[in-house]
Amino acid sequence: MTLRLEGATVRRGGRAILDAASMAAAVGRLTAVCGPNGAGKTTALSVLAGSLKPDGGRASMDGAAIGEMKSIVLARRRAVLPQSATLGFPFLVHEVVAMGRTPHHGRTSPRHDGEIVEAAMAKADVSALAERNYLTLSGGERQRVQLARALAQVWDAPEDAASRWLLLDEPTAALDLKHQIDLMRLLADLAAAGWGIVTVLHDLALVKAHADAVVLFKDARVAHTGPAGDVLTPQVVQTVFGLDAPYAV
Amino acid sequence: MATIAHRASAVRWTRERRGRLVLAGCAGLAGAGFIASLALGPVAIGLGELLAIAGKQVGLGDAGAVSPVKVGVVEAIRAPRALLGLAAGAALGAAGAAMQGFFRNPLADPALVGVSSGGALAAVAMIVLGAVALAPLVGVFGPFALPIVAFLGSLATVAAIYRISSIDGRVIVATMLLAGVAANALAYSGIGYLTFLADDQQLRTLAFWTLGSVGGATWGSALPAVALMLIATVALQSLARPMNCLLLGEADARHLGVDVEAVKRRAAVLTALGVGAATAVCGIVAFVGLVTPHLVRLMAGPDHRFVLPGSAVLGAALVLFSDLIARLAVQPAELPLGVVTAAIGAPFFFWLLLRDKKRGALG
Repeated sequence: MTLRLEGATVRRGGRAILDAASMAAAVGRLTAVCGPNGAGKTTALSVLAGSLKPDGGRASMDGAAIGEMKSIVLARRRAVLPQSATLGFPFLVHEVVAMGRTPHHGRTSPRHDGEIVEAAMAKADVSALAERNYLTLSGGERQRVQLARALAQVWDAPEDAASRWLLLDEPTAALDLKHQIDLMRLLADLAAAGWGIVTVLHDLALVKAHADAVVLFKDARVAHTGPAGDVLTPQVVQTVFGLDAPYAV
Repeated sequence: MATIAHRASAVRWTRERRGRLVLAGCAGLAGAGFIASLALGPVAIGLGELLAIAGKQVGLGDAGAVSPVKVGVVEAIRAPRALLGLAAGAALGAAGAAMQGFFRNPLADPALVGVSSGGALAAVAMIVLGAVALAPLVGVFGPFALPIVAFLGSLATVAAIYRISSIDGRVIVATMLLAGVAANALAYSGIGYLTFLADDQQLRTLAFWTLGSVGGATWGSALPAVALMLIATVALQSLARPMNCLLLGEADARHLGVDVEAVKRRAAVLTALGVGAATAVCGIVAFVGLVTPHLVRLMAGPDHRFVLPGSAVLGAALVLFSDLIARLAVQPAELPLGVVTAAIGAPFFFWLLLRDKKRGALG
């Protein structure tokens, strides 16, 4: 059960911002996507999420082309945590999290959805904020609320779905150290429980400590893939990030 | 898990109960406005008499005890007027809520951004040039021709404003409002030119376009537009859930399985249908679409499952009571309805601007 890029290419203004990229992420593993700014990480994640159609190649989930899946079917088994969300209306936290249940409307009971919302808020450590106005929260709190929303979306994938996926774009950016570590542990736990997790990350120390696999991007291409401990050698980090000297993570 | 489940349902219940209470309260207000519109005026008609007249309509008993003059006043004058006010208020309220969701911006209003004046321009063009240029339309659509032409005018405006003010699905507020100013200026100049061309009889029809009125409604003139307004109002309700997701941003809505383009298209078409039909028979009734969604949000929160129906019923109440003020304030003369709604709505708009300035939320 894998999520794959198969030679995916995305062009913008004549330039390839993703160049024949191939990678695979497996269920039960925490896969980190790393690389310098502008190397194509977010583009790769968007193609994996099905929200960006590649100009060449394809993305696939368990062998099926993502571009040909119905968006509602995809939404029931794949959630995306964006870099930043732009919600400008004063919803309460539990209402924002409940939006994650939208693709399941009519499939699951409101009571069941309510239980999942509570469980997802507990997992993301925002239960205490449940009745707060989302607009009054700090950046880090908002990020955790959005995480709870994404968790609620794929909390119970339909029976016919072979796998469920959580895609995250720099989820630790707005978090303090404790919540960064909590988040990485949570992602590792979810992976151990059978979720497929793909996350863009900048902090290589966090990657090395928590991720099972790493995909390194450089200049719109996949430069290295493999177990985090094997890939992130001082020499590789030096080459990929263009440093003066080898850098030990 | 049991306590979590218990808390979940407790949370949801208080929110939903409050939303339902707000809906019921607004509906009660609209009902009161409707009855008051039938009862109050130069000829006062009691509730018992109204009941007798209503009974006669549905075939229960007869209105023999009520004077024929009163029966005539209710059946021919006040009932179509009240129904038109009800439908126009509902359509404008729901359209305002939908536009604010569609533009993801609480300052959107059908009149402010030119959707009403675009519809009015099309309708005025039809009145003035109608006999020559648009006669085939009347042939095809009959009494629906005027509201349909206004709908097309509104649709063209909403599409143009959205194109102008959005980049990658993100709406720039200042551009939206300025584009609305330009669209309004253009439409009013067109209306002015057509007024210049109009003959005396057409002039009297045109006078109320820019000010708005539900007066002079007859069953024949009101019913086609009322049908279109109610269709738009009811159909908009089905967009509540996807519109909630759309507030998160278009990419996030797509990740939640929402067909963003289809939702935006339907919201734009239904908004234009409701506003165009309302404008075709009532002229430009400003600020109803701005004020009501805000009031509903203040009471029930921003969830569109309550904002959309709440804005429809509160919009109906607002127009009905505004029309009562318009009819009763300067008897025996009458104020234009749009003057009353603007007198209520414009200060409200100032208040919103000041509030958002304090929050620094206007961008």
